[in-house]
Amino acid sequence: MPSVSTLLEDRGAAFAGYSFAFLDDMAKREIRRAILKGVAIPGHQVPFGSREMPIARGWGTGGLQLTLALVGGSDVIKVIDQGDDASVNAVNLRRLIAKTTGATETLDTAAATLIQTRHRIPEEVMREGQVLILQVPIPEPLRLVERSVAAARSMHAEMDYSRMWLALYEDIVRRGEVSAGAGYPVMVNGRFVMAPSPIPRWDIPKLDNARCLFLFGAGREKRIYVVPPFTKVEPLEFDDYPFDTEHFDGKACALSGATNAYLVESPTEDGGSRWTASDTNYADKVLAGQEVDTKWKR
Amino acid sequence: MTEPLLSVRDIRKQITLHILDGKQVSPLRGVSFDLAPGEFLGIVGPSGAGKSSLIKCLNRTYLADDGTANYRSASGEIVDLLHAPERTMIRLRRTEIHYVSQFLKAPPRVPVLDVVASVIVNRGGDPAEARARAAETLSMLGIGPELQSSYPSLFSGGEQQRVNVARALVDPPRLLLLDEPTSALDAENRARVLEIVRRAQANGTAMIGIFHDIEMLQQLADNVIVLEDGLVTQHGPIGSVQIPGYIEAGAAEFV
Amino acid sequence: MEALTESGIRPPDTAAEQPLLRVRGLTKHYQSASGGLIVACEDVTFDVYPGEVLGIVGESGSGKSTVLQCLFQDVMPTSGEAYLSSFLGGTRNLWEADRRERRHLRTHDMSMVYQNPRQGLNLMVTAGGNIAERLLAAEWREVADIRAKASDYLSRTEVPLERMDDFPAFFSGGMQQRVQIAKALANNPALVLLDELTTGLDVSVQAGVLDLVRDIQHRLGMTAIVVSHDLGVIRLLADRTLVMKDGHVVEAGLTDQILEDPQHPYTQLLVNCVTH
Repeated sequence: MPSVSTLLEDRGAAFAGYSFAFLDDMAKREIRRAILKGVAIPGHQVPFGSREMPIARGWGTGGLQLTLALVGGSDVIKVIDQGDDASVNAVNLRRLIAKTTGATETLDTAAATLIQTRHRIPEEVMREGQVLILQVPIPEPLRLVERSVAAARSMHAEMDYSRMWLALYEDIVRRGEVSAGAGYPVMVNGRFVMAPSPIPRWDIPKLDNARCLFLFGAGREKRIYVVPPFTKVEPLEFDDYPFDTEHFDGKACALSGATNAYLVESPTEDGGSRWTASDTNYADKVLAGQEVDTKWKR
Repeated sequence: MTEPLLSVRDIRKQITLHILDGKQVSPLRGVSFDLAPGEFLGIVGPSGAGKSSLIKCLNRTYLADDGTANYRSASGEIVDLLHAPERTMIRLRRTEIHYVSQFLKAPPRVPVLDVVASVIVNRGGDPAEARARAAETLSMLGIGPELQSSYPSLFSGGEQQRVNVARALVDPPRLLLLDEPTSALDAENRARVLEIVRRAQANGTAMIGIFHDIEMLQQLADNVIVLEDGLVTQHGPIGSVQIPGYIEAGAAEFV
Repeated sequence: MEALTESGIRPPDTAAEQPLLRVRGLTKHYQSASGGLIVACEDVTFDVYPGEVLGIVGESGSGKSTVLQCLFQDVMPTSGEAYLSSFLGGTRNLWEADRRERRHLRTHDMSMVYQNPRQGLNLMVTAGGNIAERLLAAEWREVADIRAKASDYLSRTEVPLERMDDFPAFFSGGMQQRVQIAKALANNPALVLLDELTTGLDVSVQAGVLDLVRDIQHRLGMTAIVVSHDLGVIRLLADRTLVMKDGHVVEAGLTDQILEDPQHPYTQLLVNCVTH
């Protein structure tokens, strides 16, 4: 098997016949225009002509198209799959991007210029100039309360979110709280209700007034939307039922000892379970004794 | 000479019965009279002479075809009751003109006490005080506390008439239109009605009343109109008018 | 000195009273399947004053429900104008409002009680949630406040509070209608539209719903338009009444006048059908 670096050196031969970054120029141009429109109207879903990709729909085609439309040869790219850089899907996406562009691969959040992610925002604070590309399965936050796409669009246009609020009210009446775990609906820039993609509640506050650029891509649903840097993002909440993140009751990551991280439970050989940080790069850094800035909120 | 409270000129009323192939009847063929403030004007006449039609035209329950009925309201405005806007009539009915029909028209499933008290409440009165006055008025008319929480639909015809009178006089209006309010009452209850009507008279309420009962008429009326076939045939003080014989005969039916 | 009218009579002070709703020349035509013109209502003009109940009576197909549907923006008329004094200062024709204004109209200025509760309620949202929907549209953002207000409306309409968190889908027809009325009262709309509200109900239940509406009208001074084919409902609730036939208003007047001295042949027929 040739190594990645051999392949990169050999790029011209291995990918003969493919465009730089796989997508053709027209597709990239369309996607960049959609991104610009998304930046101009934070939280608004911009339609685009989603292309066939060499991975199946539902495996991150939206995020990948955004990445490929933006990536240049000098970029440093990172791909996260539910916090993990080493999953098969993350590795393959990262290789595809690198092979077709010559961009540098990294696992280090701080070193990356472009990060494509599935369902997590890194624990380490992202800075100006960095871009986080989130894969989105269902871009329409109103899908659950309004099945008609046309009706949902006019509700956005008229800022008519009473049905969304009603769903939250009904949830509180039936369950005593808003039950949405992943993908808690947020209000962007005081104007559009947005699906933040299925990130845990833990990550929701990171969207607010961040320094980096958040791009959201839904390949199957053909939608792109954006939260630009320094944009107000608020979870929908009632005054007397405030939004809250997950709590881990003082648990620490079993591998790194990290405490200020989103933890996931996994079974152990002895039939028990253990909690580890879902963000593997963060856990590695903590384990290595590095200082990591996790204070997204300033 | 005080200005009249109500000045009626040439009221005409024709009814076209479309369901009877356009048959026409003319209950009023030009009726005129004046009513002074506080005056009690009795109306007598045979059945079908137009007595009820006249009262209903003044209340706007009937639409007159011609004529005027200029009423001087409490605020001093002159209102033609035959042509004033409907909203004006609704306001006057609520505040200063009250019509008592032969039959009680009360909303169903409302206790008698509230039926009577609502008159004052609708005029902006305090509900508790309204109920107290309603209870007092009903008692004066022989409807005691034990009956006051019942629905009027359960009452006899005579009791319903007294509820009707109680509504009219719990807060005496400026103008009271009475259409045979005692037709179903016995002598004892007629006396009670007489008493309470006199109180209202003393309070300055002007009344136009249709009575079959000559005794009631003689005790209450200042002036009388005799109406025959839609026209006024006599009009004058009660002592000066020749009361046709059918009045007493009619009264006898109910005694 | 006040101006005198032609007859030399000073205009009554009620002339100063401003209508809450002014409807002028409301016309709705439909295209039939064969391409012909169907007149649902034609040149309907009337006013509604604050605190009054206006009745519209007529048989099915007379256009009376179309009038309400147009006012509530369920249907857009072919032509006509309507002004509601509480809506943008009464300066905007309701049928020229933009979508956002129309939504405000439906959630704040007006409400509708439909004959079929399925139209007015979301049966798979709790009774309290149905009321909450209007409050949420008015930007209520405290669950405790919303629930207190919803309880208030439900108790006014005599819906047992223990049913507040149940789905109206499992309520009786009369109870559904009470929830619909409670919802219609939420946000204190300037005008409530009641379309055949007792038609689908058992007679014994009808009485309760009518008493409720009358009682609320008395206590809250609600302004309403009541549409019914039933003169009994109109007699009980309406101060003034319009009679509609074949899309036209054939007669208008004080309700007792309409009932006792009907002028139009159709009204005479209608009144006689009831009393005999």
